[in-house]
Amino acid sequence: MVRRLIAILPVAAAAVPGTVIGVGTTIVILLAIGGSHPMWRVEPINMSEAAVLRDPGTIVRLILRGEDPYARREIRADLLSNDRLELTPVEAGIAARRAEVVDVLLFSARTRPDAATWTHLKCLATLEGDKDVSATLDRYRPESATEMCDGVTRPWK
Amino acid sequence: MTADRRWTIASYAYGLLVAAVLGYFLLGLVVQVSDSFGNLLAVQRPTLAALVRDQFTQHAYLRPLLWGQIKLVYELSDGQYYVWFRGIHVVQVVMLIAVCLALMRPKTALDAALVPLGIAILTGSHTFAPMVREAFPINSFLTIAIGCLFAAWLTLRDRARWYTDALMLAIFIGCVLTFESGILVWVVCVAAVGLGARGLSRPAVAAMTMCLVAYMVVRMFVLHVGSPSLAERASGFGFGILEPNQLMARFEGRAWPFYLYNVVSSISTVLFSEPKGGVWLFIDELTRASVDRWTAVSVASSTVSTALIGWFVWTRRARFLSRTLDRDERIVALFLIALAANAVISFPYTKNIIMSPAGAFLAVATYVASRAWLQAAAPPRTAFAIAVVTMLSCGWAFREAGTHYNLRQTAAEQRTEWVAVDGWLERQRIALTSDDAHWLRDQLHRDAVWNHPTPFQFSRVWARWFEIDR
Repeated sequence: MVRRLIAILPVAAAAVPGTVIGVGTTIVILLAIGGSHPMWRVEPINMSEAAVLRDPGTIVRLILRGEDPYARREIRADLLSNDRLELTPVEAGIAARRAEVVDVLLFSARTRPDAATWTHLKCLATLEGDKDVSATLDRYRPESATEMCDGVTRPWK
Repeated sequence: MTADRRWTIASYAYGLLVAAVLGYFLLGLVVQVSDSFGNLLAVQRPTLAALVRDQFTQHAYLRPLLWGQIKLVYELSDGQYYVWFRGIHVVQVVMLIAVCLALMRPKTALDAALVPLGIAILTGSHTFAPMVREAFPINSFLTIAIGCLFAAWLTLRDRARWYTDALMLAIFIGCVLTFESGILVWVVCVAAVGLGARGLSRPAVAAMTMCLVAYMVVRMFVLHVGSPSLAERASGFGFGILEPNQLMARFEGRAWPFYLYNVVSSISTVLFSEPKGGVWLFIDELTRASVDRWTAVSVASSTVSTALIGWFVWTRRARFLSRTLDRDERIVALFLIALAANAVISFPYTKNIIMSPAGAFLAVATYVASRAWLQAAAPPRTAFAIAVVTMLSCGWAFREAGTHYNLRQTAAEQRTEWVAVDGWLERQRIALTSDDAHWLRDQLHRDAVWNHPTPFQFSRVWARWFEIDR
């Protein structure tokens, strides 16, 4: 009996990791087919959160669905800071220092930012000290816009 | 049903399961911007004949059938690019796993128990990941890897037949005109026959050799197609990447030390997962005392695989020296020969994907060596032998899971690339001049952003575990 056990031990031991992989693989595919991949759990996010996550694909989808890229939305805690924040997607892009995201937002938006909005965004970019974001904003500057930043503070820390 | 057949069926069923999971992830990817969109634009206007003919006047590459395949599938797809090109990628992966299993030839319980290890090495390797992450939009490296494993399987059969000879000749010509690495198919066939395999006749080997000589003569002396120059692309060197201008500054006029470095790096990357893409990441992390867990597992699992193969060769050295080999020994010998040949033809630059045929052979060779290792295990060594294989399986299983994660991450990145496709076109100085070109862009953009979207995930937990091997 002991000898027989010793004889099948290598086979059993070799089979254990394989069986684990096999079972794991089966679980992965079943969960994936059900839309809940264990390694790629996708949660619904709003446009401001997409901006922080550098996800222009979602941004474009939401804009094409008719969502307003200049409206404030809640960004859940621990994404950009420890606390929850309320920012527009462009503000979130500036806070995350994502020039390419700011570009996608302003390029895809149905309307260009008005002078007051642009000035506010430019001031935030200047306060953040990100030259790439600042340069991106310059490309969308309305003619009547100024760079008067009195009283503008960053809503994030 | 015989016991043999039961374990064989179980092994293939497992292979199908792995292929299904990979297929699921592959269908999460879309036709990518870089390397694919540009190629599709290039095949839109010319006829198939003109496209293939143009390939014979290229400076550094001779890949007429690759472009022929892209054009053919493009036309057949009739606008359903995602379905056709991504579907072909899935079929290629299924074929690679199937031919790998055929070469492993699992018949016993022990064989079947080791099949998950073998497939995990195949699909978890850093030489495999780029084969599924990238497409051009047909992954020619995958085509060559399938061709090489198929050549080994066919040549290691008991006897040659006229139709298998003809098939092998056709596959060789197809592979070599698809991609330069197709030469490896010839290497595998010649080596296997030289090692005593009987699945391919000597006249067939002679015919393949004549085709190869003709290919080389036409390539070098008629078409004057050279090899990629130093200025062609960036390449890993030491602890970083050298851009073409840096490569020129350092090696122009005396390129052989760089080429030697590439050959040695290519061999080492298959055996030890270090360097990767010519960059000695593990050593670098070691000197900074901050070894990433992905790097550590990669290096450890590859090194143990290599050690097992080394043990296998050492314990059978007399048979290797006398060249009286059985099928398993021929497989291990083929791995070593394919590894050397793959590294030599990869001399111009190092990339993980170039060594994918050798990486595929590593899976089969490790499977063979692990089986011999366990069969030879007798007390008091049994526990140690089992522990080695168990650890090895765990390490490669981790890497296999990493491939899945990498495919998801790549899918999300590809979607981002499609959002900024106009910027990419501008940087590449490609102007869309026809309605067809605009339609192609819009269709592929729609696929990426709307039809088959893979958003980034909120949590970064898994990103800490898996690194993408470029």
